[in-house]
Amino acid sequence: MVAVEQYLKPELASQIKRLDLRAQLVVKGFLQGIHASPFHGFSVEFSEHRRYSHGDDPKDIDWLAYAKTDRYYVKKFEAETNITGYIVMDTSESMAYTFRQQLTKFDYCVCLSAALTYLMLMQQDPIGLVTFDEKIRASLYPRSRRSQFAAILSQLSKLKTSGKTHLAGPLKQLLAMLRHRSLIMLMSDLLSDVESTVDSIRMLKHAGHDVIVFHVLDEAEVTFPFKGLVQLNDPESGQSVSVNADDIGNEYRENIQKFRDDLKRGCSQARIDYVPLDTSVPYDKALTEYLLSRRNRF
Amino acid sequence: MTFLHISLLLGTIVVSAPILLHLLGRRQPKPVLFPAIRFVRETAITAQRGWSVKRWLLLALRILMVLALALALASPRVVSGLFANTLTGGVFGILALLTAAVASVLWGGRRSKLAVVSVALLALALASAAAYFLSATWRSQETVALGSADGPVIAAIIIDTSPTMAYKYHNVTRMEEAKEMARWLMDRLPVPSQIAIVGGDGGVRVNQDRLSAERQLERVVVEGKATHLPDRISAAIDTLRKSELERREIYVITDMRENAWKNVEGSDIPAKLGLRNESGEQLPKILLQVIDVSVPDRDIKNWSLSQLRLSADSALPGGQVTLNAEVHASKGTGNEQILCELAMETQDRRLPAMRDGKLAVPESKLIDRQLVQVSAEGSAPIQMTVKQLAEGTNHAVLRLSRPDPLELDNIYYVTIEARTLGQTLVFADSQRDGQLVALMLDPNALTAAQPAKTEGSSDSSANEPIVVSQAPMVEPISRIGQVDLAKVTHIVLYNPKTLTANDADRLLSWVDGGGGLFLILGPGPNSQEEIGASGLVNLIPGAIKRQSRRASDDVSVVLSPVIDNHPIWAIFERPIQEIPWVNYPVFRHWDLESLQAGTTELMRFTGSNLPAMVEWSRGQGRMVLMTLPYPEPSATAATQPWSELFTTSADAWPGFALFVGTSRYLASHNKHPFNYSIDSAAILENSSSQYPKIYELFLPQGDTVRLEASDELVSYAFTRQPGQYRLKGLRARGPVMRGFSVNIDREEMSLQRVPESAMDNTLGKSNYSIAKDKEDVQSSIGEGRYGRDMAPFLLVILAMLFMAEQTMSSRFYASTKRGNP
Repeated sequence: MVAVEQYLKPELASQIKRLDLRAQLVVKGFLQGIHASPFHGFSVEFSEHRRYSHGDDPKDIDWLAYAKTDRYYVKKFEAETNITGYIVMDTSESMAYTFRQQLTKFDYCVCLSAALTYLMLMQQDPIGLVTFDEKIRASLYPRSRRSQFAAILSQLSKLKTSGKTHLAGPLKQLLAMLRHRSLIMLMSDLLSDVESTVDSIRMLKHAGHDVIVFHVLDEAEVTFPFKGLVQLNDPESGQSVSVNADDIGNEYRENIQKFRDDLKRGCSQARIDYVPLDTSVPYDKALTEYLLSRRNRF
Repeated sequence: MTFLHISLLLGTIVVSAPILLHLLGRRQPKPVLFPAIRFVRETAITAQRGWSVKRWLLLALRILMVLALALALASPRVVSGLFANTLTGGVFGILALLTAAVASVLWGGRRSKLAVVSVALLALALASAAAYFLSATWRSQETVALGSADGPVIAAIIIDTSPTMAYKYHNVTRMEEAKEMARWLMDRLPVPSQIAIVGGDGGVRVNQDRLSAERQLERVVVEGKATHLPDRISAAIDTLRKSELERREIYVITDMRENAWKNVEGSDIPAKLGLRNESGEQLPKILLQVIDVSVPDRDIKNWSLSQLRLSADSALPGGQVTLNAEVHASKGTGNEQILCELAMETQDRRLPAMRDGKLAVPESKLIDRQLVQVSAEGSAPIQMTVKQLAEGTNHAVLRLSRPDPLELDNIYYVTIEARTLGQTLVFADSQRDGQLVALMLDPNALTAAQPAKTEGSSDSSANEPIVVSQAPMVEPISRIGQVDLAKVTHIVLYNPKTLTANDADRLLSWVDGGGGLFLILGPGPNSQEEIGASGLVNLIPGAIKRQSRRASDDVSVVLSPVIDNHPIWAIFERPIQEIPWVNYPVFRHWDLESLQAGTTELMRFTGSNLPAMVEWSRGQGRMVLMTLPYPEPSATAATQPWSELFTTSADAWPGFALFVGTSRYLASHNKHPFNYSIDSAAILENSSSQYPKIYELFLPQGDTVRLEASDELVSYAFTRQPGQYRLKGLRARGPVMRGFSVNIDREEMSLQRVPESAMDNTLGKSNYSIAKDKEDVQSSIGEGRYGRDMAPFLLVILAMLFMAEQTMSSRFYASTKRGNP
């Protein structure tokens, strides 16, 4: 966390300092409030009874309860994790971008990662961390121990953004690394070619892994809030272009929306969860909404 | 193109400001990090290109704005004629700019190349058109020097003195209005200016000071004849060309009537006003300003008397003269009854005279009046008779009693002279017949040679019996060649048997000189062939075909008058139709056929309808021919009378009256008329035995002129004003009053407006401008003197450029763009 203070403003750093606490809040609030884990697994632990309703699998009927009450009850089980999670985080130069000088895309992803790590560990699922730019830079083997949370946070705080975004290579590497069917939570701005990006992600899916893509963009990258004459510099490529922001704003917004739509379409075709996010949306809210929608699907 | 404040053109240097600002103060783009640049790049390349075009267009607009402002402040001027060129060029220029802007927007907007090229070509074409028109303006005036704005001017103020300028509108005559305008113009000329007032005489005399010009202006009055303005303008140009002053201006103040601008074909004014002469030498510019002081056509409401027709200018004392005319009404009048009055001056030996500096004339008495109904644009005839003419000169005035704006055409001046007969000479083959004729003309003819009545008889009252001045002389026809005809005023050639060609020529030349010949054909010639063979045929205005004869009991053929009004009939107290001609049958007469043109039939024979009495004019004289003898020749009187017109009884009065009336008519004829048109030379006979040699002429406007007779004539050529011109001379027995009338030719008073095309032909379309009021004149003078001000036009362009600049720089629409997500 010390490292976080080094590259963030104090007000942001204070928020990040409580990253673990906030991660706990998100998950606990979620667990307490909803009373169900979104991750229904195959290793079950009894959770509760509920009235049988039409459409429920009859094998789930608790006959013992039937004998006692003469009513059909279905046994509900809390899933017991039997899947390994990987947080795959993009650490390319572009991830360090922030327009409002508050939360960079990278910070946003760190927060998100912390929350998800906490959630996984709460379910005793092993979770690991993989960071990449043009290739995999660091990785943390998945474990389900409580200490894994601190290890991941520590690792995240040490990360520095550099290099270009290039998904294909790192994801291939990742695929080679994976032994079991895993849940891969990819966090990136995906600022590269749509087709190659989608192909790379599909590759993971085809290998039998469950993939969630957290597509994180900066607020400015979505709204293009610039006015007048600006010289735009790409931190990754070093390219620059001078434009009259007033002239191209609308067209840019159309382009970026199309980019997100293309990614969404590509992911949904491969049954991959695509979560478009931008730094103006509080990550806890975004995550909660996503988890809710995911739970509803199962 | 010229500039009123040329120094302000230095303001165009400010053009460098936007250029410098553009180059030096160019806003640098703000560098920002932006990873999603790949979504910008594609859009940015085209946008950046469009933005660059916009930037240059914006610079161009700003430069043009500064230029337009600097030019507008320098007050550029062009002459009116070229204003259209300039305006057209300017409009094309603006359109070219707008089209160029559209082309640039299309280019920036990634439209098809075809569309961009098409619009760009259109912009180029418009720019070429603008350049063409503007360069035409520039070229045509590049050498014109207008001089300094406050420098002295040489100005010719030409005032239309046509009679129509007397038209009153809002109680002011056009002439008064013109003079007021002239004074106003003079007030606006710089003090050391030279001014020429061109009035009635058309002379262009340049006054070095304002006071002299004022005096000259005061002397300008409405004349009786339409001014020929093109001549005056031409003369003014010639005079102004000689001046050393740089600024030359001609003002024509006119009521725009057609007569003042007539005979304009082949006008040399456009050539004279040209900026270069034939040898290509540069000439100074002359401003020509026509100031219209006319009455609007819709407000014209006028009644007028047409040209008057007098049955005779002179008559015998106690005789009568008939006046015929029409009353015309103009377009704006209604159906009205108009009263026409004829007033005649009484005779007063003491008048005319100048009393207290004013002309005193004898009193007038109303002698006839007639009420006529006239509708708008219609006319009604009037006929009046002056009766019982007093001996001497009689002045009368015929006028419309209804007042209207143009009084000059409501009045007609008439002068009729009533004088005693001159010497009458009777030529007859038969002594007896000759004496009878003489006796009929003067009952005392045979008793003794009567002394001629003296001038003293001129104060005799109109009721006194008709008198004959001298007893007629009787001579045989064979003596025509020997008798001195110079002093004879009237000849009766009675029943000639034959006539030599020489005698006929002598008589004809005497008629040409103003004599009155009464030819009476009778039984003298035996046949028409005999007439044809003699000189008589030269005195007959037609062909004698035969002699008609009837039995003495055939009373079917009588005389019948052909025309109702003729001075000869004045001898009858009753209208000629009421005379009982039917009681006096005609048994024989010569058949006169194939009448020459210009011959007037006075009497005819009933039945055959052949002429019995005809009249025709020749030279200054007149001739009357009777185709039956009166009185009855002695040879046939007893046996075969030609008619019953002549008997010794008093019942035969009609024939007698007809004969005497005709003789008096011919005897009273005067060589020279007494009624003239404006600018005609008036001539009066002035026999030294009867009239004084020196006269004082009282002009209608009250001035007097001394006139001296020469060659038995008094003449006066400067009849510029309508009215009665009175001559007063002195003889031993007392004053002698004579006179004549001068009237405006009615055609000169036509209120027809001159068409604009005629003005253009005369003056050259772009050489002049027309102003209707002082405001018009002021702006027009400004335009003419300094050219037409282009500043307002440039300011409009400036405003358009400003709007374009604002739109281009996105200042108007920036806020709405910001509002977009």
